Amino acid sequence: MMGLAADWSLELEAERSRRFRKLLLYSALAHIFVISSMMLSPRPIVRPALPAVVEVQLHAALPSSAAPPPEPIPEQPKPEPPPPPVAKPKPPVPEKVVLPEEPKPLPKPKPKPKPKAKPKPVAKKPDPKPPPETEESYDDFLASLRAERAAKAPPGPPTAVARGPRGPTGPGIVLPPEVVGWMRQAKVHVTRAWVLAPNFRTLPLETEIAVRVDRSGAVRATRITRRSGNPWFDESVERAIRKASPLPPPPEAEEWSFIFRPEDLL
Amino acid sequence: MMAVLGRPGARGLRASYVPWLLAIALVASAANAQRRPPIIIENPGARAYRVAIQEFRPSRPGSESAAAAVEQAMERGLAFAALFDEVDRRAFLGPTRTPPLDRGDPVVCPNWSQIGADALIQAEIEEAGEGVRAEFKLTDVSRCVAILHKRYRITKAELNRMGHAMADDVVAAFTGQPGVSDTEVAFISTRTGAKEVHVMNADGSGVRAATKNRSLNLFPGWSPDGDAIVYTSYRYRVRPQLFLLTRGERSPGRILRNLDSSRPLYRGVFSPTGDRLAVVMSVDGAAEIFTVGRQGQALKRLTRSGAIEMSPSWSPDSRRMALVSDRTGSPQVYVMNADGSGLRRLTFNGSYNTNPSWSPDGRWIAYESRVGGQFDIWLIDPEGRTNTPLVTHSRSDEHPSWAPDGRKIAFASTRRGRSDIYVIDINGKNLRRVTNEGENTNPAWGPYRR
Repeated sequence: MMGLAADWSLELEAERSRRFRKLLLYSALAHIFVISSMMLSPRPIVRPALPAVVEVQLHAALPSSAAPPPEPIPEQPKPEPPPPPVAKPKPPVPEKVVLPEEPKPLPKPKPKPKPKAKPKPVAKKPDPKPPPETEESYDDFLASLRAERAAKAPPGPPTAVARGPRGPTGPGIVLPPEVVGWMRQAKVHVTRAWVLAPNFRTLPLETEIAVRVDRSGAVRATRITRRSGNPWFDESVERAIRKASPLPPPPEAEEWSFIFRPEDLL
Repeated sequence: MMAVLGRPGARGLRASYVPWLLAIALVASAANAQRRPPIIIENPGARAYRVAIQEFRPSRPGSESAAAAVEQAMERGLAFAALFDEVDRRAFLGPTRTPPLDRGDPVVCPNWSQIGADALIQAEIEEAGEGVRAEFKLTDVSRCVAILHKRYRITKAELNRMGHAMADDVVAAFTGQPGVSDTEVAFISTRTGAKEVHVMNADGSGVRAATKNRSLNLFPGWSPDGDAIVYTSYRYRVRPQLFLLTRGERSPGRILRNLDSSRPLYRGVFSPTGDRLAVVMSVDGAAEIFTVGRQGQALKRLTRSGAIEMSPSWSPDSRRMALVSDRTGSPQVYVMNADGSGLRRLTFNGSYNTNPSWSPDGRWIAYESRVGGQFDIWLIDPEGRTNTPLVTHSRSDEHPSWAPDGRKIAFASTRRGRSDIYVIDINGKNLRRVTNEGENTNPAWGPYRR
């Protein structure tokens, strides 16, 4: 019996050892994945949920002075946010069409809870760069950004926030400033090129289009990824993108998404 | 981390998992790109499409004047749509005149997009006997596709109509709904002395008198096929009656022959199906609303309040009707079902609201509301949730009437002293006066012409 017990015990030890190695392997894989993602992506790995973003603006991401002790812009991974909201559905009835009465509040940048550090080796990795001073003014903040870029410093911490002022939920998504700047310029270009007949402005139409832009800013291809149901409206969207070409040279030659939805009601 | 990878137990597995890890990392990177927020475009920044118009080509000698006339009419039609700006021909990089279209020369789109054009218009006109033929082509140079290629045939006397029809088709190619430059507006004018029914093209051209009875004529209203106009006339002086104008006929005729003619009939409005009319008839000293067949059969009373009920306006699906009633002491707009049931008050702003006009798409009711001492044009949705002014002025704006495309409204206004007919887009832009002689009131915008 002892022998059997001992054998069984030995088997158990071997099993434990195998499990331990397996766990070790899983842990290693997880770490490799995290590090590889960080190395291959210029942006942080863990991002807040993607809100139904409609505009892009520079944002200092500073808590108000009345807020409790200022938290730096979190660089560490945050707890997994709730799933990203689906695109805001359009009310189907005309009353949405006409001068929506409910204001669309800007999501307030609430002081974020202190993120929990994951009990994983990756958390031990030193932050790539300290966050910007939380008490500086917005202008100082921008000035420091410019100085930083002028000095050709390596990519620092995310300093711009693309924020969805109309998004119902969720904080902004952190983007590099050059991306945010380009998105704003592209928005101006495309807005200027878009013509819309007055009758479309009273309809709840929305079209999403993917636009492949090369390094020079030329529009290489367009693909409507979500149709409005009105082919003439969709064509006006395509026409606007084509007419806006060339856009300013983008930071990355890749596909960008545009959503067109008339808000100029009556 | 590297120490973990260097452990003897994991060494053997590292080589086989590295490709997977790299793939996962790439996917993560691509996902990052996709998670970038979209760029939202909400308010169009350009006011109008820019169109380059190549000179219309006379395809045979003797067609020059017709080509010029059609081209000018088309340009007027485009101007009326207020959706297009014409590119100056001096800026053209390509030819200024339309090449022979049957050659099938491709349009060099960059030549046109570089000068800021959204579209290129080309046409070839051929005069043959009493007729005129045209080949018309519209190219979207941004996308470099022909979005309209059409042939027209018309009589010489209707060159304007051909140009207007081309312009309306251009509007349709860009918006999905034809323009209205080839439609007509009926109205009451004193330009011939009495208040007579007149008809003009929507842009104010081609005014012609439709009645000459030297009496008092009011409230013209179109049949849905555009071939008839019902109107109220006091020609028999004793009481107002309804009469019918038919396109091409000179003398007006009675309508509702089988209806008791002893009762005053103040107004008639064709239903969208054309088989019935809503009429305002006097009953025991009060004006009430009825529906009746075109020959006066199947009379049905819809209102019984004993107050004054007037100005019926059908919903486009013929199921409902807007009307005015003073049953609460002041004239207000109401909505009811076409059988008279379900009456409910729609307007509560101001003490005097009248002349409702239901939009062709059914989404709005235009009406006039007294603000201070004068009337303004307002829009309200049939459920009464949204109520907004469209036209305001220190002088009165009255009698709104929708264009068949639902994008424009005609109304009468005394803003320059005497009453004239004006046209405005429903976004409050592109106000345009279309009459300039006599006192002009009661505009009624006709349907699309066949």
